[in-house]
Amino acid sequence: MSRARRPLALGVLSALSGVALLAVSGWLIVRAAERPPVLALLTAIVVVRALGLVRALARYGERLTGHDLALRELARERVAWYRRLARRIGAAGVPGAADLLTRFTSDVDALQDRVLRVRLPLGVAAIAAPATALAAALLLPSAGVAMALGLALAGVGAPAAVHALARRAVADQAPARASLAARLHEALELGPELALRGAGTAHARELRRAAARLDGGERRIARAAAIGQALATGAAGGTLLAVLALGTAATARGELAPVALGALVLLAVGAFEVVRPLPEAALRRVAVERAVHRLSRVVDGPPLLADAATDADAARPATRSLPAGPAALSARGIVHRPGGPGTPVVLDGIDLDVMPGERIALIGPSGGGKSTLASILARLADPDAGEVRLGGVPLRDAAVADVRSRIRLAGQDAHLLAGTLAANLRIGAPDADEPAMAAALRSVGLGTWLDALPAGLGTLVGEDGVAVSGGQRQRIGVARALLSPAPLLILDEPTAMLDAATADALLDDVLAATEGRTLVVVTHDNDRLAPFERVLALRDGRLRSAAGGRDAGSGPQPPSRPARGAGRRVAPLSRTR
Amino acid sequence: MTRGRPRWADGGSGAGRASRHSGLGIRADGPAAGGPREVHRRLLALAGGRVRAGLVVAVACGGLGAAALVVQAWVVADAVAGAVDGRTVGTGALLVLAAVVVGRALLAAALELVARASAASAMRRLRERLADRALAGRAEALDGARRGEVVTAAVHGVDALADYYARAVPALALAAAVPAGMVVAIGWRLPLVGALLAVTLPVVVVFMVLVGRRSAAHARERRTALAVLGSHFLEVVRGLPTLRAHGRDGAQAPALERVADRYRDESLAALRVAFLSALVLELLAMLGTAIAAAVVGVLLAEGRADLSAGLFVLLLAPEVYAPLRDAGQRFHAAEDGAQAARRLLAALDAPGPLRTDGPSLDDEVGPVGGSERAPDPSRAPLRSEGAGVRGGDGRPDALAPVDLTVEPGRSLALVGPSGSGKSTLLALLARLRDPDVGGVRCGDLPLTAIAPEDWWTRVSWLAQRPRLPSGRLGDALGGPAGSDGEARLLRAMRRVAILDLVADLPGGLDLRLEPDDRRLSAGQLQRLALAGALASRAPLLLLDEPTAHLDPDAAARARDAIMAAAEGRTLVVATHDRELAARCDRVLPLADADARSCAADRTRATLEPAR
Repeated sequence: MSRARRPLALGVLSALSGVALLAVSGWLIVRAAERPPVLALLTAIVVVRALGLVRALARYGERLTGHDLALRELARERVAWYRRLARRIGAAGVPGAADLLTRFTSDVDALQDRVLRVRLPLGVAAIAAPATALAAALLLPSAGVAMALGLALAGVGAPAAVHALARRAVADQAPARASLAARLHEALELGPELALRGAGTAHARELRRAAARLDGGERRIARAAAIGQALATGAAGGTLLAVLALGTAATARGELAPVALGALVLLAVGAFEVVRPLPEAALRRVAVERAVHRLSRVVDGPPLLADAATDADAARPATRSLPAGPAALSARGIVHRPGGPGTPVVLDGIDLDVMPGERIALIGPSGGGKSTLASILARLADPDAGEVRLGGVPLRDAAVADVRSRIRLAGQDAHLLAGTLAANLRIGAPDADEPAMAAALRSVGLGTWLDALPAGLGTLVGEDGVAVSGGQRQRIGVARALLSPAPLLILDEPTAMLDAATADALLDDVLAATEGRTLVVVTHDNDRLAPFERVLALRDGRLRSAAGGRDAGSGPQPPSRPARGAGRRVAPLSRTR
Repeated sequence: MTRGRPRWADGGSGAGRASRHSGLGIRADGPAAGGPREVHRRLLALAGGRVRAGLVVAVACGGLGAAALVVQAWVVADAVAGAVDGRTVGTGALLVLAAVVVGRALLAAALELVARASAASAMRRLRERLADRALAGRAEALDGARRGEVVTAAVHGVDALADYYARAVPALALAAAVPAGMVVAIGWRLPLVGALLAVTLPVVVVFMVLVGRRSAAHARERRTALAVLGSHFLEVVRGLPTLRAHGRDGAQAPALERVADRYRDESLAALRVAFLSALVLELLAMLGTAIAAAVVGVLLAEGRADLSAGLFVLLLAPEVYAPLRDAGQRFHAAEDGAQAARRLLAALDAPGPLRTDGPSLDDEVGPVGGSERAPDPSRAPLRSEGAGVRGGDGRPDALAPVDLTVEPGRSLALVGPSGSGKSTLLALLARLRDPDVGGVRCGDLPLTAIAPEDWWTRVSWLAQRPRLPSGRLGDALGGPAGSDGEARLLRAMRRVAILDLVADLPGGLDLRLEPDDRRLSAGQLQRLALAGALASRAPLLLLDEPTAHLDPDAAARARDAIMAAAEGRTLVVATHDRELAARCDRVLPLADADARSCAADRTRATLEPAR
């Protein structure tokens, strides 16, 4: 039997033996009252015991195989949703921040109820309830009809009512939920800063309003659940009443043997155990459906990067591999709206050539799109228009893995995963050995910090690990990129959050450590441009060459007058618009 | 928050083994705010009278339901016995049964309604308490990830609590009363069977407690395994942007599968035993019922009992044990449900940044340290008297004790390397937190004696990495459209030359910010927030790195605007910007943490005039 069917079969077996147990006991008691020889009862007694044993053992098996199946399903769901999120992360509307991703995982985890608390009880009831009604019909057809009607009301009508009512209530709750989550989030993040801005009272009022609206929704759900319980319990009682009336009348007329009446009445008592979990299962189903709805809304859509290596799209040309040796990176006509269609154009016609081994600084006003450009050059995002090529091969046509092995970006939001420092560094290079990792840390100015750590590279970092400051976290991110085998590194604000002396040392060390590799450094730090061969300024969505070194303090040159006279630091730029 | 949370080192424990494969450590939730019983006790205390009354009603519904069951069994047994004797059921009996049926349906609905409403009320109280605390500066500063967990628990925790209130509490209360009541009812009709069941009942209960303890341990183990799996998944998802940048995102999917497989095996091994104890209980209950049935059979066969009594006992015998079995199962299920509440209680328990005087954690949020009216910092000097903030956990102090006086209406620049405590000192002056040692005074009043809400009206603050609350942009920075605040904001924006920036935003000041709004870059936020801070009329300006992230032109304009805004006000600014520091009346260098540890134990502010 397949793994998925086993819990269902065992559940049906357990449910039916429970019902049969009661029916045979009813028969047994009435038969006993007829004072037969004791031997006549023995078979029934043995059957009752056997049914009890079967019920208990099947129940045990059902729970065990059910949990096994549920855990398998959960693992499958997690991997599947992870893959879907991985295809979309970075796209507009997909949460990128750690705290918002928490919500994503909590929705995936909500799916674990689906097997054990929705599908299994439904499946068991779908088989066991008709079987019970059939058994009743064999004893007395009219009682069978009554049972079928009662079971239908308790097992289909009540859950359907709960589902319909609760689904509407939960859907209506969605705005209140979102508002409460956002407000609470802000209260926890900004806390007294809100009060300091004079917004504390208004914020508290909004929070209470959202909480009250959510509470109203909860009460509607409570009413739905109560209606479900009333219907299910009422159906069970009503059926018992009907079966009792029909059965006793039939017995009085002599149409139903007294022993069969005993069996029938107890059958009616036991049958509704099978459908009892269904109203609750309907509620669970609503929760699961909402979770799937939210998840789909987050991850539905085309993959952020069309990957020729993994997409089975016949229209796409076959994957091209990137050239093995040193290669120039060139961008042509890059136009991009990072916020998605309808949002402002941040990159508006970027042309850029990076020669192998070059050291380039990318400066510009904050919010000007430097980080966006960096992520496009590293192909963490595809531009809306334009093309980036490495050694003449468009990055779009290469496998994503191939691009990562050539170009590596250390972003501003380096995340430390819970685990050892070594495991975190190996994200950059899975095979890195300890000396290499220690060297990379020294290159980013974390040598003394590493030496002071009691467990060295084995020190736990991340949520429960040692405290790591924002600047240190950022530098660990740079170290990851340094460890990587990529010949072209893009570092986004490596010196942010550092004081002047540390920033100087970091830049020198990183430049030394990347000797022979191509380096593009995104920085707002105009005092530290001297070591770069070229300085480019991104302003109003376009790139211009700017004076390097200390001259840059006076600001980037206007586009009409490229600073050709500033020596080797400034190279002319091809511009198309 | 990390207290009581096991750390999963590489190697060693099961989780450690998982981490070697995934390359990541994983953690599980420990009893951060006590065991489930403790969690629910506190929840009840916090939830207030209505919720407690609701639970009493829920239990009463359960008790009445059990009584109705006895009546139902009686009527059914009589009717069947009568039919066997050739009598038809009387209308009276059918009416009684109908009444019982309706009553049971109503009781079941009432139980569900009351219990769920109680859960919702408790959760609402918890949410509001948490929000009040956060807004009053009494919630622990949480990092992004943990904040996400707390918010998720607060928004989605009701279902789990409803399980507890609607099932576990009534089941536990009923387990104590119903079995004995059923035995009495049975004993009334057939004393011999009643006596027999009365003897088996304590045996079953004792056995149940013994087995229950064992299965509780296994249930805990399973929960831990599930929590470990859940947090591993959470960690991988949170790290996804970073993993993706290094091309390691694909490698995590098989790792997730491997970890899940391992934990499934471990979890099932625990469950095999945990469910075994449930099996034993079920078999014991069956044995008890079977003995009762056998005795009834013998009594019937010997003619010492009538069929009606026999059927009545047969119908009720399983109900003797059912509440016990139910309670055990429901209780473990409810322990799972305690998780969300525990997370929220832990967030409530954690010490906040402001000192609290008196009110215990479960009380209403009272005034936080002090109720005095705030003096005007543009008239009274602001003094730090050895105020410092400890680092905790053996880390260097976040701020070594500082003595300094800021004269009213003057400007002071805090300079020094990152990590020297500039931001922390500003936060102390703003009273976004209270110092661990020493104190801050305005005039003669310690800040801790002043009502924070009042002090905050005196302060204009720019954070190092400003974040704006969601809602209308103009409201967040200045005030509602057309207000004085907005007029001042527009003037300030002109000074820092960001009117263009605002004009480019969709809707300008009417732009509605969403949570996690990525339409504004960090630099844009910085400049908007600076304009907002300068537009404030508060007499004390506290600015943290106002010119960082700005290009030279913008920085020069920002400096001018800051100095203009500081006229007639007190300004304290933390900055790496030498030009800005040079324009302040005084400069206070703060030494970095490493230098402090070997130098003097206290930074003496030698307030050298900068020019």
